[in-house]
Amino acid sequence: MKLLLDVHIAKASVSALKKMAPHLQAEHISLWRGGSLLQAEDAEILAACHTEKRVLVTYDLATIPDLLRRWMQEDRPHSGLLFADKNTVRPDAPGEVAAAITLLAVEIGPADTTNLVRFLRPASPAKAPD
Amino acid sequence: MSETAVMTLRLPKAVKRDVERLAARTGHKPAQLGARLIEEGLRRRDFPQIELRETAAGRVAYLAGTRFTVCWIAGMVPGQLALEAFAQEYDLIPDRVRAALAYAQTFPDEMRSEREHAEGNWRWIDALNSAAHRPPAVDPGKRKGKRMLPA
Repeated sequence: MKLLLDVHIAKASVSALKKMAPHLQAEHISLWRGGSLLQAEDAEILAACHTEKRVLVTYDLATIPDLLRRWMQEDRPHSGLLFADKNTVRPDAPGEVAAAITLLAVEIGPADTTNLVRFLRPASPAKAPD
Repeated sequence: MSETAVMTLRLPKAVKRDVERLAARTGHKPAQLGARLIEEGLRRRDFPQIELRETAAGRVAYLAGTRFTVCWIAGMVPGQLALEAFAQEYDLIPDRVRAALAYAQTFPDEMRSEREHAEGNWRWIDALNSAAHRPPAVDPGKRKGKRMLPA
């Protein structure tokens, strides 16, 4: 599975993923295609991902879901979206992000990710507060 | 709805034409669009580090030149990360993060509305997930060898 990590995700998550799940090909948006999509609009990024069958991992719950609705109405395909929420998987914690992605990738397996939409969830259950 | 007031402006003809063209293209009334452009111009003057972008979710404030919405930054700093740590993690100059936070403080209603919108999106995606992973309904008539238990 090929992945693109959006700007909200710590760059070190890529190396954490390489260690944890070497079969996943993850890129960070700051470096992918020479960083040319670092300021790009959502549609441009999703379209670019689709050309490589790359799943976008994002914390953007503000605008990408709206674009997704529009694409669903237009029957426009994408190569998969993994949404994350900062309250469940910390975007600045590479180990947590990598573990959550690995868990989901194992669940998805070799299935086609076209139009797949999933939420990242913590790889280990959250500890109850003391 | 915020209070409004009427103001008459004299514009160069070419500017009027441009406003009308843009209004036609975006499906707004020229007066609405004119008011919005003035408001955005004032915001740009006060917050040059903030960019208002048209997105699928409508107009959203971003830290200029990045994919970070102001609302997301305000949700991270200082609740999840201290300002300096956030700036370091995301390769941003701390003053730019401060500018985003200042914008968020100046427009709390806009931030609240964006947070609520994101929460609504979260619920929608959650519902999509649930629907996709619900075990398929089984037609009782097709269950072979199994007797339905009496209620």
